[in-house]
Amino acid sequence: MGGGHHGWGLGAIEVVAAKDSPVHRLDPRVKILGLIGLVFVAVTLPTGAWAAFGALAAILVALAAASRLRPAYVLGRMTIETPFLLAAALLPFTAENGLALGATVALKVSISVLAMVILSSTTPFPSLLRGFETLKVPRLVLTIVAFMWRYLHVLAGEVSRMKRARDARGYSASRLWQAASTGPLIATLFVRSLQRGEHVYLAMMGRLYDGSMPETVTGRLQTGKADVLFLTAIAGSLVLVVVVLA
Amino acid sequence: MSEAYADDQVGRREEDSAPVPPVIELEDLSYTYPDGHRALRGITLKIEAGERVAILGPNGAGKSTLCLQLNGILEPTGGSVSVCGLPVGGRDIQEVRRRVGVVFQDPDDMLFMPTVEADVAFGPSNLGLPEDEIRARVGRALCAVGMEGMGGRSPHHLSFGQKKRAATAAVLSMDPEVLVLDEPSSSLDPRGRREFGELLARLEQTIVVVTHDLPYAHELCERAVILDGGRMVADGPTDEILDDAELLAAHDLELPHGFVMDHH
Repeated sequence: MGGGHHGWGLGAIEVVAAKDSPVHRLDPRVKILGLIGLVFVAVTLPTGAWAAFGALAAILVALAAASRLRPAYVLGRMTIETPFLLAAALLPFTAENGLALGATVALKVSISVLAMVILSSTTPFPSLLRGFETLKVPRLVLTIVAFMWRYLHVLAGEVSRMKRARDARGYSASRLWQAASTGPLIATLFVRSLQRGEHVYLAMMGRLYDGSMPETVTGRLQTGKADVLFLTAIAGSLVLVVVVLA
Repeated sequence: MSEAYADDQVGRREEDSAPVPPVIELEDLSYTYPDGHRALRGITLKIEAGERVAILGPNGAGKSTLCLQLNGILEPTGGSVSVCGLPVGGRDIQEVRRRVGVVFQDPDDMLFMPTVEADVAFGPSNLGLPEDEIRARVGRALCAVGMEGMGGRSPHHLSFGQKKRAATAAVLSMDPEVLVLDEPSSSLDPRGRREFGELLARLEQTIVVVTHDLPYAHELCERAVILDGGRMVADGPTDEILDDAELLAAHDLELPHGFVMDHH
């Protein structure tokens, strides 16, 4: 129920995505196409194509700057790639020509993650879904993602209320024997989620749900001059990167 | 041209001869849950177009079960439900659900789409209406609940009162004839409760309010029905029912201390 004062980083990304910048204003579709295109080029580049990687990274840094994203925020978001970097760090000791290989993997991962951080931090989630929908991504997949996103917020609220109730009764995580209460907490959450799912399904039936999600007709997307310019620029640079630098 | 004329004639003839069927008609309705719990036992009730009826009762009286019967989400195990003359549970079930809009107690159950407007558009989209009509209905429904300009918001950015209103808009956009509200005042702060009441008072639809908030029932409905243990134990003007302290006490209902009724 109540407000959205809970963690899980869901709030932070929404606040940033709701801001304004030339990149925020772009049609979500051109951002999706441009940035996923860039990721595609990045992951297919051969080992040791340093100039090409440099060019891609430069494009992204320029985009991040144009989006007015704070470097500390971007780096914080990018910590998600740490496990991949650790795996890449093992390569120099295990593989032949491992140093170049490891560096290449690290670059590919970093470029891909940075591109997705920029995409998700400049596009509110509903617009992102709408963009994918008009790009003909199967609606079933999008529905699953949309429900996950919607109810993650509700569940996060429930978890924080349950934890607060537990803490109010003298729980402290420092005592190992008290950690046993985490199990029931998870079980309760699971039961509540099941009930929630049932209620949502009933509500959907009440509004004539017939097993397939209708196409969204609200939140119309519009492609303008800036969008065409962005897509042309990014497509041109990607071609250059592949043909000249790789 | 001639066909349209014939249709018109049929329409007029029906209007002249047959009396308008009640919006909701329950005939000896019983419902037993699969686990054997008998939630409703032989309820007979008629609600005419334009009426505002409060269904009162303590927790566990079968109120929420009754809500789910009214648009065919649960099917009666005995007796029958019909809406505007259409039997619930037949092949007109989609039409019944369009005509009866149920607003659940927890709006988070109702608002499952990423934005408010997408949610309000969900019902009309399922009706297969053209896009322009869907957008027009979304606009009208948001306006009716006082949420113009908030369509692009995500549900978790709304206050509880706003969520409640958005959930109501999501049902209004299907252009229902009856609005069924399950505990509309629960979890609302005094201001939210008052605003939501004012909003309901403005609507033209037949309204069924399921609640144990007696002052709210008194404010909104001229007729009240008491449900207890799955049985209907009283049906009459809200004033009279709420004046009958013995009746209320017998069914675990209480007016707040110090409440003085201003009669309708």
